[in-house]
Amino acid sequence: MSVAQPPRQPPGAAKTGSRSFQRKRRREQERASRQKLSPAEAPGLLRATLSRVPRAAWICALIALLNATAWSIITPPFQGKDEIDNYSYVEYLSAAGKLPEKAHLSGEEPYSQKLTLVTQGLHYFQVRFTPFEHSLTTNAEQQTLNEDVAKAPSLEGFGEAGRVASETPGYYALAAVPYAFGGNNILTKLQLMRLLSALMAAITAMLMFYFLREILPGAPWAATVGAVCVALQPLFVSSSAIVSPDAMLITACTGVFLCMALAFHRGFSTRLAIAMGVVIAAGFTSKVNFIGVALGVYLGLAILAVRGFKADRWTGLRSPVIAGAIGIVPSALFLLRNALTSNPATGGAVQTGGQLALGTVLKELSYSWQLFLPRLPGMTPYFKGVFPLREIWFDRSVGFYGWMDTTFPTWVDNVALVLAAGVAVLCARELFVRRDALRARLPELAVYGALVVGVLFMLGFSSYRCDVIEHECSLGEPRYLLPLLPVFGAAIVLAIRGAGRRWAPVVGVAMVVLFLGHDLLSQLQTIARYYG
Amino acid sequence: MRKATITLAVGLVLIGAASAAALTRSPPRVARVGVPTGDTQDTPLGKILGDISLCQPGETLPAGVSGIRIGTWAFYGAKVHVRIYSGSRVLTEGSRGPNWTGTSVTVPVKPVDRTTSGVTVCIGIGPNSQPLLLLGVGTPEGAKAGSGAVATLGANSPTLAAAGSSRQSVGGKIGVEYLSAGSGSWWSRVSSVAAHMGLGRSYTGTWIAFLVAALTAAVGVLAIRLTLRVLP
Repeated sequence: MSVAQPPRQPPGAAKTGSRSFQRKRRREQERASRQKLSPAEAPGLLRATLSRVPRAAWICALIALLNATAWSIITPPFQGKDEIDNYSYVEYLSAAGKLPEKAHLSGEEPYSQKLTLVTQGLHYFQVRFTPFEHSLTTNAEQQTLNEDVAKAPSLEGFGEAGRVASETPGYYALAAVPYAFGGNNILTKLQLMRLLSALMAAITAMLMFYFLREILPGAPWAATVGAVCVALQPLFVSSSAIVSPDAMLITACTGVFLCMALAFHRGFSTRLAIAMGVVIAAGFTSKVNFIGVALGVYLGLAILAVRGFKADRWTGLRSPVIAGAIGIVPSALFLLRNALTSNPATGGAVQTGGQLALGTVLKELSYSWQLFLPRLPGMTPYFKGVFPLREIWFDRSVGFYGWMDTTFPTWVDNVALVLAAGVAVLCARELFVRRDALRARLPELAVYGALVVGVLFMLGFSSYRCDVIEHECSLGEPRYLLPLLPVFGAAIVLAIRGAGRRWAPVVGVAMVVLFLGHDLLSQLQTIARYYG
Repeated sequence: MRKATITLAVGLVLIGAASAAALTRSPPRVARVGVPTGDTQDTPLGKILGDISLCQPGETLPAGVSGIRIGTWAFYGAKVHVRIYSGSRVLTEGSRGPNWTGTSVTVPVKPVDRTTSGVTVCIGIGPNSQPLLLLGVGTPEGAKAGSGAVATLGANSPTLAAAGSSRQSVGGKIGVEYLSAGSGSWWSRVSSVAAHMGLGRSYTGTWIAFLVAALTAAVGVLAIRLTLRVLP
């Protein structure tokens, strides 16, 4: 099996020769890369690129695809979190040919008649959020559902997209393709749309493979094992097995991490800048939550711009500007369109911005801090009796499936905590041992840190508005942390390497078995909940 | 490589053993419904933003009950402590950490040997600073007659003092269900579970369960083979 390491420049190679010589060489590389991008050669280039993908990367992608496909069957129709709203968005987009405008938070939205009929047949509202209510259990119920599905196409019209109406349309536009292929059957349409999400999980796994090899090149095998573990991670895979823009957001964020790593390690070519711009644009169009990631993205571009300016003067600014400009265009158009049409559905970001203007920043900061870290003296308590890092983020990361209603018993969370502590110790050991190498990569690590902080603060600020001010909802769901999946993958690889050369293979195998077991038991738990 | 292979073998045996052990257990069944809990049947009795201690008289505790399901809704749960009294004597109790969400919380309790009627179920919730709904059946008349739940706000200890002088009616009965282990293990239900998995879709049949099993098996084989091949 080919587990070829990506071609790398020897350390320090780029620094040989005078500065003017380096500039000249970089321009030659740029010219060469531009020539490769000519439209006539693009299909050939794509084929050549795909043929260079190592077999191990394909297998990681296949593992994620098959795993997500299994999860897409296990989770009953519409029992994914907000899946009915996401489906309704695509239905509206396909039927009306425009974006939905009315956002609702009630959970009892005015869905289309046909969707309402089918969800009645599925007992959707009885099963949702209620762990002891099973999905359909008799042939008579199936017969009623069949009749509802058959009757549905005759019911004209479309409903509204509930709480996701303010989301950006990228994922929904893509999902409109499998929606169209599903004919008149709502359940077939839903399953095809779920497979689109599964395909995105596969792309994420492949991007993860490259990202882990790029940032931790010392032991390529460990990076492969890390990518396998990510492809088996049940929270990620189950979130990418339903109709949800989270699937595309996670893929885009993994792409952003990879592009950043490449830009810092191999130089920021125009080709990479275009790729990064496209990935940023995909992120912005996938979900409003990408705004949290954008903080780190634009900090990274600023650092790369400073580096470029030092090396190449104004020419060095070209790639960061290209990436930033391409990335911002779709969201700028989306906001402009909403402003011109006086559409209230301008997204949570704008609403959060409104809160910033009202001078509640300190409260939001305090809330955000407490959402992830222990409360400091003097802070207003927002989570009395709860340690969110453990009881919300960790425990729910261990198991939180379906409509937020399928979890493991507490003892499983306790066992998982012990195992996670072991992984954290190994990870810390590796970071300590490699502290000199870390120092040399501080700017790059600062960007990853900013990506993490951006996501956490975005969650904190949005949750403050929803939880403390409106008392309507909360964002205490670990799926919101999935844009940081590359950091999770890196931690796995660090832990494997932290075991030392002798024990690393053993820890690597143990990790794969652990994630495999976690995935299997999570599937069994979900099957027991819905079909028991 | 040898150590890694042994680790893999041990790990796979452990996964198999854990799965088999999980399947030997019985799914919980509802031994008795005090007041039904659930997403559609329940009426919100009140919204709380703090601690609460409440007692509901006139309940019956069946023998062998291992969990009490309480009708309450929260995004972020809170610690819940349940104590069941017969007169002033504590029959059983249990507690649950705040790691729950949804329209009900199940609190594990120590099973008792015999069924006791006329018990009082006391529930303490807190510390809590998050919105929390009490769900149940609104029966103001019943509450007046002394059969509804009474609560003390600001306290979180599940004692009979919750029914003391500072009490106030919650306007009905809180949803309470008594759970015990079912009769058959998961193993004995495999075929019915497989049949249920084949329902609720546009394509139906037990083959869907086999498809899921095949996909999961393929995932396992691919992951293990790749790992073994890349190991140094």
